[in-house]
Amino acid sequence: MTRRPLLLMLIAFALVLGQQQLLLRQPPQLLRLVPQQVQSGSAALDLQFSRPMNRARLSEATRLTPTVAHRWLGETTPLRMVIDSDVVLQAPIKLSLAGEDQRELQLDRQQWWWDPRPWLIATRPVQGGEQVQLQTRSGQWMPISRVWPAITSVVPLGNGRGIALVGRDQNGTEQVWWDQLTPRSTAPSQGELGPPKVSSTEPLLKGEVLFAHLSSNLNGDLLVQSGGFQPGSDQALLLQADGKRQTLPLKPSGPMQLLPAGGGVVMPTYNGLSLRPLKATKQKPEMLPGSRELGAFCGASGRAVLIRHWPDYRRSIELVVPGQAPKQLHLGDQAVLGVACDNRGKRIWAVLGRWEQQRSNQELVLISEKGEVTQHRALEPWTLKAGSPIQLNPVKNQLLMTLTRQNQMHAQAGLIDGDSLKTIKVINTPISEAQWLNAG
Amino acid sequence: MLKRGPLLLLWGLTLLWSFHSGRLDLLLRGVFHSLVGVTGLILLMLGVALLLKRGQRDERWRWHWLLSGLMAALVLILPPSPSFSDLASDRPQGLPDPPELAFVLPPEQRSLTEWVRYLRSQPDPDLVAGNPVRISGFVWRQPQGPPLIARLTVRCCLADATPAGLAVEWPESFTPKTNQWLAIDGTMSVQSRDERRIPVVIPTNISSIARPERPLEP
Repeated sequence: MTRRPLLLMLIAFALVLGQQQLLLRQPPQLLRLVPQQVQSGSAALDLQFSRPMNRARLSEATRLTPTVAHRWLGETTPLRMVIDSDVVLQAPIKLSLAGEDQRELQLDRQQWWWDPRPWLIATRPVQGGEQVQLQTRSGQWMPISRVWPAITSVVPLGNGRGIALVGRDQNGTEQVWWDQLTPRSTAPSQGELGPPKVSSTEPLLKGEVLFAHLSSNLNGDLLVQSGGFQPGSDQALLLQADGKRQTLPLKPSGPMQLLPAGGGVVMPTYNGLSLRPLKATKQKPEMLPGSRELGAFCGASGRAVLIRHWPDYRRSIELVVPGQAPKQLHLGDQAVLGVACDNRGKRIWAVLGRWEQQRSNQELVLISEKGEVTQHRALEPWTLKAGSPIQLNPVKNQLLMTLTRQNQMHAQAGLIDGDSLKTIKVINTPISEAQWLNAG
Repeated sequence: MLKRGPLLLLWGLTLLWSFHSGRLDLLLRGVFHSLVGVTGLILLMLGVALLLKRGQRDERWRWHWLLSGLMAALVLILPPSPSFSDLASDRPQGLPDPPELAFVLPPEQRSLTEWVRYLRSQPDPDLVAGNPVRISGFVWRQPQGPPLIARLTVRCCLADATPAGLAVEWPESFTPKTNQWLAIDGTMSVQSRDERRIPVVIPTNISSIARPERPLEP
């Protein structure tokens, strides 16, 4: 009778011992590659391993083609590879991965391809209305949304895994839809890289709304602010990247913006801008009084560019650095039509306009964080389409603008070099608005 | 002679005194303090009940009661004075999950522990370079290299304490003393050390402070 339990115990012990020895000898494996948008360089990739890795050995043994300046961050796993912010990428990166874990077991040498370049998406006029389309690397356009009578707003999700749009039907009512995309920015071979695939299309809100405003952060969370036809039907719905939904108990007096790094929201109030966490905490929201509007966030650096409206109709551009009072970079009587900044808030771009001789003269300026104008260039014969954003592609150091010109019905997407401000290309395709979609 | 009733009274008083005097702040997380207080009260009541009970005088004396009584007396007489630096050096480095992540806190309002948690969740320190820092903690001696400014975080009590430390570029005119409590105002910077990007606090002002009433953080 006593032999059997003893035997069972011995077998269990042997199994545990065997499993332990097997696992001890198991080499480390790469589990996944995840492009990371919350970073300080021009692009970043998180590498998740099955074992705690030796970062120094991995850094020494891994090769990048083309050779670009980069750094490895993190302790063991995941490790983050950040491409330096001054690196400009024109092609995908070949990643020849090798190294060892902390037990000195070798990681099998393997090759991966990574294309961190964002995709150009545009709302294009098509038969039956408008449609969001994505331009492939070869210049072809592919649809990523259904056709709507009119599309009033498009917001690409910060993680590149979809777009949210507000479509307007013939009755003038609006619907909020989400087109889910599956990125193909990392692959074992170059041939498998490509534009994201549309995986599903679904409404985000039941029924129709009177208005809707969308905002996304770099994690891929989406804020949908909407109002219905009934009084008090305004709501702010947060759709997290992990699929969770929550209604935020916020009553803003205008469109809210999610902070790029997540966790908070900037909302306009009657006497300024308010910064508050998404989760209820004991801390009071931070207030920035004055007639200011949010111009652009500078990546995940915590910096932002504001446009301030003065009582004498002048406009100023301000840089907000965490913990400091807003710093005035520019003050003048020209209209500030759009602003953008880089991931570190070191370079700020602005389109300034003046109405002269019955036409708008616009100028694109590059301002340093100290407020010095380091470059400027007239946009003539083009003008920035009113209300359209200026967006920086940090991977290629290119600005994207929606440009129009006199006597032209539709706008065009303009690519401008981030340093020289020279126009690289104005894409000869009629659009309503162009934006970057992160590679994801 | 010390018997069960007086002994329970003594331990009850010891626990209540520890609860009342704030000594528990050095040993236990705040949420558990009331538990100790209630336990002290129960022991006190049990002691009184035993004293009032008949036949207690016939109880046999036991030597380990005396030891226990001595221990309670010592706890009452000698206030705890732990070396946080030594404790931090002996503890594992994994921080417990925070009770609530609020990284949108303005950086100058982040505590030292919140800074460390943020930097561990977000391994790209360049994102916070230049942010203002206003932290306090004790000086944690390192076997190699300059000391860190640190705090101990606890789930329950000192036994599960976990250190959270930040590198500081100590000015030449200032010599940090182990276990000294300091308040530091400055900015966060990033330095490359041993081919690693390390967040380092550049102090603009360092002042010596008394040990906080509640030095352990959740």
